[in-house]
Amino acid sequence: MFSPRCRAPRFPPGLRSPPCTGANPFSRAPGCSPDVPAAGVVVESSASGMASSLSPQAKRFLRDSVGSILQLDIILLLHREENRWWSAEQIAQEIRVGPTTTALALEELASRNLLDVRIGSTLAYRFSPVEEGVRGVLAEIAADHYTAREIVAAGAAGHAARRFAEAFRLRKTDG
Amino acid sequence: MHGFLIGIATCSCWGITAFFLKFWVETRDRFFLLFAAAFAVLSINWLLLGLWQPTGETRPFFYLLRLLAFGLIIAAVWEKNRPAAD
Amino acid sequence: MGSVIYALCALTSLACAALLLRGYARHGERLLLLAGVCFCGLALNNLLVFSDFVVVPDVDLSLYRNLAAAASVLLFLLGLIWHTGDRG
Repeated sequence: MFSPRCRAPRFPPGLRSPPCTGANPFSRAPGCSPDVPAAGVVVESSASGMASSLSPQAKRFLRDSVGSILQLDIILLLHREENRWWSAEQIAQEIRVGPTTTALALEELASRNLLDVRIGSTLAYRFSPVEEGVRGVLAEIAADHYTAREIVAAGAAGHAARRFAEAFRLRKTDG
Repeated sequence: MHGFLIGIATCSCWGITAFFLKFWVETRDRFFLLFAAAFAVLSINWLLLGLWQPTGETRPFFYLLRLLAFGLIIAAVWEKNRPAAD
Repeated sequence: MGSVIYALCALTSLACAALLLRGYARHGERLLLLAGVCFCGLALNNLLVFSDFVVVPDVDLSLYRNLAAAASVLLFLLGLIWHTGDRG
C-alpha cells in the first residue's frame, strides 16, 4: 500500500558508482550503476520491490536509528572520517544542506548514542557509537547506500510513530 | 462556545484516528489499531455529548464510551508489553 | 458509578502522559512531548469532569473542561501532522 517515490539521491562526497547517463537513464554503460537513475529522474518503486542485499542488522539499524536520508548522509560522512571533529556548518557545507536542518539532524543522531559531542565555541561532533556492532553495520550500509536510502525513505514517516509506540514499553529494551 | 469546542475535539480526534490507522497500515502493529479505535471512540463520545448534552442520571452512561476508549488504550499498552510482541 | 468512571479515565490519561514524557526524556522526540501534553490535558479534562459532577456540582466547569479537551487533542493532531514526515 505504501509506495514511496524515490527521488534521485544527492550523492554524498566520496561515494562511488555514479548513475548511468544518456538518453535512456537506465542504459548500461561501463562502470555505472544500472539501477540508479540519472539526476532529476524520479522513480516509482514499491516498498516490496526493494533489493534485500543488506543484513537484517543493517535494516534494523536503518529503521530504528536513522530517521531521514539527511541523517543517513551525515552518519556515513562522519563514519568515513571517524577521528575528525565536525561542526554543523562544516557538515552542512559538505553535503550542501542548510546548517539549521543539519544541526537538528545531528542532535537526533547524538541522542541515539551514535556521536560524541564536544562543547567549545561551537558544538563539534564525531562518529563514536556506544554499541560495538554499529561500525560494521555502517560499513555494510556504505557499500550499498542506495538500498539503504530506499529503506530510510520508506521508513521515515513511521519513525516518529515507532518512537511513540516504543514509549509505551514499560521495560526498557536494548538500543 | 461549548459546541465549537466539542466540534474541535471531535474533529481533532478523527484526524488522530486517521494518523493511527495510517501507522497501522504501514507497520501492521496492532498497537496503532487499538489507539485508532480509542480515538475514534473518544470522537464519538464527544459528538454524542455535544449533540445530547446529557444531565443527571444519563450522564455516566455517555461517559462509559470514554471508559471504553481508555480501556482500548490500556489494551494497546498491554499489547506492546506482552512477551510475544516485538 | 459515574465518579468511578471519571476517576479511572483520569488515572489512565495520567499513566499515558507519564509514559510518553518518560519517552521524551529518553529520546528527545518532540512528538512524544506533544502526546504527553495531550494526555495531561485529557487527564485535566477528566479531573474537571469529576470535579464538575461530583465535587462541586453547583459550579459550572463545562467551559474549562471542554477547553482542556479541545486544546489537548488539537495540539496532538498538529504534532502528528508536523512531526511524522521526513524533516531531517
